[in-house]
Amino acid sequence: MDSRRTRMLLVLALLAGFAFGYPALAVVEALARCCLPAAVVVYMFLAWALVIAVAAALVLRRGERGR
Amino acid sequence: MIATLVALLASLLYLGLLFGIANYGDRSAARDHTLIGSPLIYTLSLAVYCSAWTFFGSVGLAAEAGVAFLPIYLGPTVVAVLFPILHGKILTIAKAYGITSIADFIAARYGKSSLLGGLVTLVALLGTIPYISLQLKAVANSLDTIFAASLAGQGGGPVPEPALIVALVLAVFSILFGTRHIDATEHHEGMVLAVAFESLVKLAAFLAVGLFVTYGMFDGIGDILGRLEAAGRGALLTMAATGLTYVDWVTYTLLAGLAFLALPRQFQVTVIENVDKDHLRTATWMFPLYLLAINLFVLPVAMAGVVLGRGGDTLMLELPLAAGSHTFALIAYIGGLSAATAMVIVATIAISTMISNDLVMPALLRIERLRLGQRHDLSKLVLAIRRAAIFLLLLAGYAFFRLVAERIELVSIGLISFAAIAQLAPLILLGLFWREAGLVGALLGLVSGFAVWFYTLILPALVFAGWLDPAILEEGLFGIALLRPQALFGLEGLTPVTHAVLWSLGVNTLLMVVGSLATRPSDLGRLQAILFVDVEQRQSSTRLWRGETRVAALQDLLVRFLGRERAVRIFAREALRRGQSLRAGDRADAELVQLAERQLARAIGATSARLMVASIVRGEVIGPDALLQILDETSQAIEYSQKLKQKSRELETLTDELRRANERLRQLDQLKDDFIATVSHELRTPLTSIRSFSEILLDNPGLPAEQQRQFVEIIARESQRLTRLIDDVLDLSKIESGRMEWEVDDHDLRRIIEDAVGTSQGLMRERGISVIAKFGVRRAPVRCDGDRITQVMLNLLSNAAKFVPAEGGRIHVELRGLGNEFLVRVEDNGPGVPPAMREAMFEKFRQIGGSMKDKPHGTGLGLAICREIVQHFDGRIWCEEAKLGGAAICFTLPVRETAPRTADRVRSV
Repeated sequence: MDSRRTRMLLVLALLAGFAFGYPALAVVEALARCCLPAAVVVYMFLAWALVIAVAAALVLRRGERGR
Repeated sequence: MIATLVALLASLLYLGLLFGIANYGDRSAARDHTLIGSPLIYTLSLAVYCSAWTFFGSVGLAAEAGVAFLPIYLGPTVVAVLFPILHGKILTIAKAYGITSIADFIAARYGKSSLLGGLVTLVALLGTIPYISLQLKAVANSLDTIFAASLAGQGGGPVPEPALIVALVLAVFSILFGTRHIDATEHHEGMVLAVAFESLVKLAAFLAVGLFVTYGMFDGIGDILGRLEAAGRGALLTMAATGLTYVDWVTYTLLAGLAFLALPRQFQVTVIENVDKDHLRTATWMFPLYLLAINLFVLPVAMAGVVLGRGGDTLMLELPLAAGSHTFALIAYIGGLSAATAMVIVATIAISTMISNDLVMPALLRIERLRLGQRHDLSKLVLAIRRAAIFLLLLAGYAFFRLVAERIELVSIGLISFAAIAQLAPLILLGLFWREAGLVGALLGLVSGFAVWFYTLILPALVFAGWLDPAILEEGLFGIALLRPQALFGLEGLTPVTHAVLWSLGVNTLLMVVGSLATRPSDLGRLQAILFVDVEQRQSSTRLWRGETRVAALQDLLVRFLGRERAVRIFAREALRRGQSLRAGDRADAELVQLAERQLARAIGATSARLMVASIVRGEVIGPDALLQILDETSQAIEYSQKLKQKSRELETLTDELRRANERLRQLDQLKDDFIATVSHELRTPLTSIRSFSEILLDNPGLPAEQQRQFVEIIARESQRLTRLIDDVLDLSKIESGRMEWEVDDHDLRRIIEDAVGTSQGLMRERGISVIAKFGVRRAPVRCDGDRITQVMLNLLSNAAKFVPAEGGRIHVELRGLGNEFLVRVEDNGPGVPPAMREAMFEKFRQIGGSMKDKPHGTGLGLAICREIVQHFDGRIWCEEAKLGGAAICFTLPVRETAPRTADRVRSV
């Protein structure tokens, strides 16, 4: 795996860490209080799916599949 | 109602199926046909992470605290994204050095320390026992739930000690499929295949039960949500319901990520059982996807339980039973059993390897009275230790379940385990990326972190189980309030797990860093640090033994641990690779010593292997200083070699240049010979005429006056020709030697051209040649020697006149401005000059004829003189195709830059 993709995975891990924790949760929680009670649940699963999709895109880019 | 007997029968059938799959996997492997070569199987085997805690505990927790179960899966998701970076490096190290377990990995990193390996094993062991008890409790609770339902239906009967029965069956399974070979790095293909199958089963079971509860018992998630709201429990889906602060949430996520990295069973499937490093890339996204999928229905099932007024760790079973569905209850039971058995099997195999390789064998080998080093076959002893360890581990798990865990929730037990295992994470991470991390720091960090873990988590658990006085929690140890286990040094307001994790990992990391910086590692420790941290760079440079032993001694050592057949095979393969036989009496080189140690490490771990090899090799390990010196010398040699290559390349270039110069000299020599021949010929021709006619005149004084006059004219003409030739040779010689005196002044190039054309007009008219001059500028100020430029023009005109046809000859002269230059072009309608000759025609004695025989009239010096003159005044001269069809000789002279100056009389330098 080339160094650029490695760096991007590292960045993704850091962003995922933020997305799954404080302060992202605090923002979503504020949203939940005002209008959408299940906002935390919806947000969590969406963020989770997004991280998976980006990770897949990074490791399965053209020319890398099936090695 | 479903009968307990049916559940037990299903359990036995399921375990029988597992046996079948594992057996099939092992048999295929024995036929060199691997079934675990797929990244899908690899990823499914990683899902051993999802144990009964996931299957039962998450739902139970969600029913009470909403999304509080999620951090346990978000942490590993973040670590999975880093698989190619983190585990890629770990895999490279493990494959290179024959690592057999997480304890072996850590011990090898910190100087192959048997003490550290033993401590890591103890921590892993004590951290895993509660985890195993969690699985036993989950299965026992499941059976109890089914049993309770059976009683209500008057079917089946009580199961005596279901947890014990499960523990014993799992022990048999693990022993059969986990301890077949002594080589711990050999893949347990059957076990991996069975675990992958179990991952599929538990996922399918969870999804099936989730769908049944959501769409069979209710009308979808909307219906459940509506009823939840109606029951006044809508807040279950908010952060407030979790009872966790943001600090707790982040700590749980971190804890899960670190535990996932350091769990012995995860290390086993991720690293030891990996058959292709590239599988990590697929697992990077597929494993988090599995986690996401298995958690999809946790909340719907939990909410359904809340709506129906139920809760606890057995919701997955209770809901189908409440709906009267025996089938889905059985599916839930099998799913839970599957999750529990997979975890127990892999964990016991991993821990038993650690116990034998890093705890028991190093200890036994140090007891000289046992004389184990002299025994002929130790492989059976190693296998016996592993089997006993598996058995005892499961019994310990059962004991913990009976004594403590029975009174604690599944999730709490799991978190206690995680916090213990996470103590290994700083040793792994710092060891991988920080070269200064040393053994003393690792020991200090691990011991202190584990002690804090025990004090802040196990002590309270023992209190809750009724084994210790609750006063410890309220008043602190020895009545010191600052030492309260759940509020250490006054840190309050956190959950017990967050409190324990922050303290234990904080102390662990701090002391590890301080200990590493304050002490100097041993030579071996520093060496191992270099090899681990820079594994990609230094993997191939591992000939580090500087000692002495014989081939026979090494072979005997391998025979004792691996058996004769395998040891002989290893040495035969090595001999084949080297292309020479390894004789028993030969001195073993460093490479062979390393091969033996590596093979031994695969069976008994790096620590024990080092002890055994050290016992027969008299010598020492090369320390980092010596290693760096060798590297320096190697670098110098490489640098020297590169310099030599560079010199060689330069020499080749110089040789080429010399060859070209020599060729040029040869050509010049040929030209010189030609020149001398030409000049001699040219001189001789007029001289011969002069001499002949002079002799005629002398010998015949009576010749008629008219004839005498004709002869004298010939003599005069030939004398002029002779003078011209000598002038040309002298001019060129002066210019080339720098002795030419130039009369440099400001001139009008147009005027010079007009004069030259006018001068040659008579000659041209005589030969019937029409000369047309075109001027693109009114004035062409240049600074030059006017006579010399006139000479150039006359030369070009006479040269053109030589080549035009006898009739209809035409010469065009053109002058125009070209940027900061003036361009003069003299073209004719003669035969022209072939492109290949256009450059060479300006060289001395070059004439278009090509040979001395058919050369045109002239000395062959005219154009060479023109070039020297033009170049002297910073101009250029060249030949190109003429519009008239013949040749066009062009030259340029720079426009005079400054105001007119006085004439200079300079000598070229």
